[in-house]
Amino acid sequence: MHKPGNVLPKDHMPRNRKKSYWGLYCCLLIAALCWLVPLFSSHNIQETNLAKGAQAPSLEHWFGTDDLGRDLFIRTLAGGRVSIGVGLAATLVALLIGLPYGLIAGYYAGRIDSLMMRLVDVLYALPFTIIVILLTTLLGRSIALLFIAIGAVEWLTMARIVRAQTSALRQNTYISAARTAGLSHRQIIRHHILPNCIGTVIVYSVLTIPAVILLESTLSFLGLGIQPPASSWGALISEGARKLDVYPWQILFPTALFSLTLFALNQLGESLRTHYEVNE
Amino acid sequence: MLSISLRRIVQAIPTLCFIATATFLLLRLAPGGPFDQEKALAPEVKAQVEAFYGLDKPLWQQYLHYLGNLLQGELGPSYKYAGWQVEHIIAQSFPVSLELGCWAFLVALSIGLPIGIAAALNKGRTLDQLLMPTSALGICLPPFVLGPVLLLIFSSTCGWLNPLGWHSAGDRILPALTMGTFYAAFIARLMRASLLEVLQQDYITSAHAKGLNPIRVIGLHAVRNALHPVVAYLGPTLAGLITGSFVIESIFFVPGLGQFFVQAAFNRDYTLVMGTVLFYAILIISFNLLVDLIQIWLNPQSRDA
Repeated sequence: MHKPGNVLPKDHMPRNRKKSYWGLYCCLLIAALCWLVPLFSSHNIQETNLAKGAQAPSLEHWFGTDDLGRDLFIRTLAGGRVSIGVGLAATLVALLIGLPYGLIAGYYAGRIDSLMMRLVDVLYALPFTIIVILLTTLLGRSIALLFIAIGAVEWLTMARIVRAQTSALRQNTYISAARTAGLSHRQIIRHHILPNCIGTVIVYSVLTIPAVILLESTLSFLGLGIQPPASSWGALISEGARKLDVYPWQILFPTALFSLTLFALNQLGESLRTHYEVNE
Repeated sequence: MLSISLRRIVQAIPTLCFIATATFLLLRLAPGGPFDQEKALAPEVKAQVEAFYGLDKPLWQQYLHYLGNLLQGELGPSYKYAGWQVEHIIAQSFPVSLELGCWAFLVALSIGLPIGIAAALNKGRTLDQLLMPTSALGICLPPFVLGPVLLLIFSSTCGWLNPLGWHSAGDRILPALTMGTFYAAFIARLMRASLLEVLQQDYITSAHAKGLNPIRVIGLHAVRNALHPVVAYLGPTLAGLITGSFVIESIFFVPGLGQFFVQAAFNRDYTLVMGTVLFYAILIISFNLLVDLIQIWLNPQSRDA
């Protein structure tokens, strides 16, 4: 479109191209720390030592210890495994339901579309957090259930976005051309619709991960998420919040890592958004 | 507008029925009942208590009975707070959540909108590059992170504000600030993006060209039109602020409805859970309707949609 030498206006320049990967590197680094370090550490998440309870950070215990003398560095990293794991798993659940749902509704349009989207609208009107809280209090506290519950809530947005994208794409003449050429609906969806909305899907999947991590932590903070002795960032922050004025390091480190992860993931989502030119 | 409201209200009825049924079944499927305690009641006592509340009848009878009461506007007696009707518990605790939500909403708007506008007007300059990462940071500080931090600073260290309770005007500051900041970050980003788009429109150029005072152009032409997507976001936000205060209420010991709801779910207080869920659902549906009406008022074009 632009002739060589034709300079783009400043506003349209992809200014962030260069620094756009730091979000990704940061996420990978945190994930690597969470998964690898506990394997090689001399401490483990269960090991209690009452004589060394609630100690301030030291060379031996970098993030200090909790009331039972458990090493907080390892607990924070192991908690990160759970938080990130739930984030990824629930996003996958949301993707597996939302993507086909949105594709079908958007592609077939008409009555199928309005029926399917009516269901989404009804579910959207439900008080989300309340439903998740209800599910997790009532049906036990397994991690599997937790991310199914969260994923079951998060797929709605994904379905709406994919549907909007698909119903715009199907207006294109190349879709009619493909139809005329004798391609089946399934082939058209796979080869013409899906590749064209993949950018949007990637962007929103990445942005769903921090949203899920946030929801999981909120639940864990209320005591409804991950149960002891397992831990997640939300559970650690909750424990730390109770002893805030006595042992501030117990909340400081989990909070720092948690916020950094959210920041990095959001940043990654934003840079992908710029990359794929997806509008808000 | 009236026909839209009526249609939406009619549409809400099946939604509410669905919620009532799903919640009812979910509660009964869940292990444990309202009268299971650590120290078990004698079987005959428990049977009598259950008979008193009608819990010994078949499930379908209980369901019909509940729906019948609901139609008469009764939510039934709470099982844990003996002698209290669910509607009285809601009537007493909801105003607290409502007040908290409104303060938080004010905080979110009064921080979010100016930041978004200032960033958009200074796009690419230092102020923008300073404000936007700050607001990105706001999104990473959810209430349960910011709350304890604010407590540590303002009440433990400085001793200016009470750490807990809901008595004086000062007790409103920390919870409202904690809750509002998180949403302010979203509002700021949305406002910035929307205003930037509006500023590129031809009518802004022509307003400038005909020599209108720039402040009038921004205030009257640009901001008003840029508000549309923000308003669409505000409905769920306000609903979220008013119904989603569980965390804030548990950090600052605010006696709002959120506390009662979480406790009731733990206690298997069937009627209180159902009452609260239905109440929240009605609130959210009404807020969404209200927002749609405001949007139609702001932008008459959307009336056809």
